[in-house]
Amino acid sequence: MKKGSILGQYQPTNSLVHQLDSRLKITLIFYIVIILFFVRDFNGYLILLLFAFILVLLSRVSLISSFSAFRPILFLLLFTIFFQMFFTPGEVVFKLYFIKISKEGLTLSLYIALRLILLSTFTFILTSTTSTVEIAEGFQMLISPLKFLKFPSDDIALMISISLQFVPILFEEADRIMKAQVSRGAEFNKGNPIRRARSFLPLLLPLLLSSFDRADQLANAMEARGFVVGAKRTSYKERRFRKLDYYFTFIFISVSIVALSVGRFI
Amino acid sequence: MVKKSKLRYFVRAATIASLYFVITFFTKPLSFGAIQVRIAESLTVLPYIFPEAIWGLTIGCFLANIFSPFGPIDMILGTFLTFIAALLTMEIGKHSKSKYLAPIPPIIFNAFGVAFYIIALSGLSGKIGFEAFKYVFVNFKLVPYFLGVLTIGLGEAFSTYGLGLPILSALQRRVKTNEI
Repeated sequence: MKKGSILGQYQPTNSLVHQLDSRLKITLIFYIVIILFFVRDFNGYLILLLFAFILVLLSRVSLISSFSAFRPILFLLLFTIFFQMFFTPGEVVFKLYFIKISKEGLTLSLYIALRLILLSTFTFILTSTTSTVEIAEGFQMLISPLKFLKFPSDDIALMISISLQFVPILFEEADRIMKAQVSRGAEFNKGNPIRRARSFLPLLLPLLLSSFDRADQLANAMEARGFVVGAKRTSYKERRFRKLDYYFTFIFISVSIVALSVGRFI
Repeated sequence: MVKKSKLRYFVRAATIASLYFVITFFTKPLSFGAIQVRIAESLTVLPYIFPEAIWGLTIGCFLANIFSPFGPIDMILGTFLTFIAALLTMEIGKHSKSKYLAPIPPIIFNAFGVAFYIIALSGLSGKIGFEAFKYVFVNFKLVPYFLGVLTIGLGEAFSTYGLGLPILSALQRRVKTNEI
């Protein structure tokens, strides 16, 4: 099984967006997602949409793949639009027997559609330009100040890095077990939902047990080498903000301010 | 049984996290259908016997949610719900209640919680602060909400009762004989 295709949408094109600090990217995406819910005007959304489009172009990821990011939300999108369109009371613009579409319903569903599309596009920009390891590392650093609130951020950081180490190993293991069980006649994804869920037992149980074994081996190895939980750690790569990061922060914040002020002050 | 050191506890939690992550992606092409059965969610019964699974599930859910189309929202809210549900499952195990109760918290929290924030967020309009908060409740559409609760809850129930419980029984036997 190709690992690249499963592990998210990361596309290593090493563009400007890729080179940004992962902590900064996470923060900015979070920020823009919050902003998304406070934009008041249609034009504000259009500005953000244009901005997202420029970011996708800048990051040089394939355009087709950015559209595929909508696929998982397509059902939800149609579903909410449908409900908002037909069940929002207001000035009726279209009527066919008992079906009524109001002006308010139309605008509301347009807003919702735009917001969901923007949400998934910005998330796509983050995950297609930042590898899982980078995102996890960024998060580890972002939560580290929470130490002062007695939040076990160091322990969590340790667990995140160990589990990322395990991911490729377990992928291979899962693949191996699955092939072994299929060769013995196991069938996945057949029958009713309960049956289908149950059919994964011959995959999951061996996987669980073998991974517990691996965990014990790793813990033994770490203890044998004198690993102390909670000791201060240093890292091989130190990350620093560069000029590019500051420029991007500035652009992001100014675009968001413009998008927010449309319909309020402008 | 040998007392587990802190390191052992962490490493096992980390393995459960990566298991959740790997299974989510491994079964992604297989778990389509009208009612989605998320195979990885069957692991949510684990805190019943392993308290370290709480951290494992929380981190695993977080890592998997990085790829959710709702991104940041799922990363924080979805992960938080998983954490609370896992805590409750552990409590159920601690007080040695029937293991048939173990999947209840993840089903309830995911069905009602995830459906809530998805519907609430998609219905928010361009209002600010308290007004926006009020708006969510006034304009809250119950029909799509309960449809969401139903589909998420059913999928969750299938994977936890269909797959989670058999796993739990199998593991319990091995815990009794000190194999794991």
